[in-house]
Amino acid sequence: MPITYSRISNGDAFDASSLNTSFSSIETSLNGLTQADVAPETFGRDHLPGLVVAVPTPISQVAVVEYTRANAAYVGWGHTPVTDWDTINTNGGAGGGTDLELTISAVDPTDSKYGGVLVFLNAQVQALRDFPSSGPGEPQNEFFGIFAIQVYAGSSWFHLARTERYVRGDILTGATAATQSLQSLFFDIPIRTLIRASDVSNNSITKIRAVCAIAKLDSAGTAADHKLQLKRCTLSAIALQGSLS
Amino acid sequence: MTTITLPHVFVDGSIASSDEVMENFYNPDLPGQSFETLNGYLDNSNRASGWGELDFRHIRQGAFSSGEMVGKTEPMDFMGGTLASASVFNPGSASSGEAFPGAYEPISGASIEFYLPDDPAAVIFTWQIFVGSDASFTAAAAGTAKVFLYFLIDGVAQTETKRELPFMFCDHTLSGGAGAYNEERQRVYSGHCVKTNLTAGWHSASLRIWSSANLARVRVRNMKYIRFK
Repeated sequence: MPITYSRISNGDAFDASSLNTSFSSIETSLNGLTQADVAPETFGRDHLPGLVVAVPTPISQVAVVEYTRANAAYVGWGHTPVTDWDTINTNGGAGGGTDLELTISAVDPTDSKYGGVLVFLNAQVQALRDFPSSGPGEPQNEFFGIFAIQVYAGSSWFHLARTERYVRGDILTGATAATQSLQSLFFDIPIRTLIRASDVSNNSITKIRAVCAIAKLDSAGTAADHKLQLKRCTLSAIALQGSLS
Repeated sequence: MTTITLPHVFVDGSIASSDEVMENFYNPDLPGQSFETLNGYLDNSNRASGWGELDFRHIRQGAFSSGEMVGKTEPMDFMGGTLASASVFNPGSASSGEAFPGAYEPISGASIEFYLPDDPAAVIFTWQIFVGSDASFTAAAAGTAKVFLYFLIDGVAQTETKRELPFMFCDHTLSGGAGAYNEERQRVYSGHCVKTNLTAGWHSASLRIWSSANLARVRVRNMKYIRFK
């Protein structure tokens, strides 16, 4: 709002009251600025806080680890309880090592300024096939690797079914039955998602992790020989504030 | 800064001091107690109670975040040579040359120099790149032609981003005939890297390639950074 200042003209009384009225009108205006008082693009990075409210150090693992149909079998799309899923771990499907899991400062998704938690996962599939003790084993293209993101909020893990990604093993054209099992895939699986309040029933978010599983078209073969081998995996997250209106 | 409270109120019958009048107008020694507050000191406390939230129109572009994206429409061929041991990427041995970040070639269209105006809370790098090659699969590791990607920031290799790419060929010694080409194994590779320790100033980031294949053809869809204050 424009500030209206009453000028003191010739013939007007110039006394305490006229002075106080003029000063207080400006004082009141400056203490009650409205949106219209602020020019476009007034506020820069020196005036405003950042959008990032929490950013944990990304976690990576580089050594090759493996999961089998015996210890990390696919439990189904969006399956619960979420504890049936196998977390990507530095010891693979056997577990007991370090999980590919991030811990962040508690983020309250019910806060009106909650923007979301942006999550990035890259997981490199080195191999997805049968590792039989003898013979060619089951065809490589009968195997699937599955990946997803889970979030710990309140006191429970939540599985984000929309983040499930699948990769199928394949056989190089020309490979013989004896050699098809030797080949590596080196496929990289990217997952990008934004965690919303509805994903976690409005509970406070404190952890994010990546899970994986292996599936096969049929049950033929030895489950413990059917392996998903992962090489480099990285999980990153950024909690953001700011809502559009 | 708090709301403006003028120190002097004038009283009928008393002589108004010119100093007091002036101090109401301008007194930099007492912040918030004169109209000098107009000179850049107005803040949230001066906001009317019914205002609500800041509108996006009030915020300067780049205040919260900024970024830049590069890309290239032209396919680029990287030729590693006919012998793995003679690869231009690999003056050393074929089996370990990819281990040295210095042996990697920057990919045009996937390399960027950028300026950070302040110490950011985080910088996100992402890229989408297509690579096809005649990297082949053989039983003997020494004869296997390979292609690797590596992401470097300020010349420092980001270990977690190193990726070996899928083989496109099956060597004829394994297939029992001519080597077979598998075009469906060409992939678009989407990678990411998040840094929380970059400081204000100029930086560089580049996706680089190492290859002992005869030919690696690269199409860069994009590579970008996004800075968060």
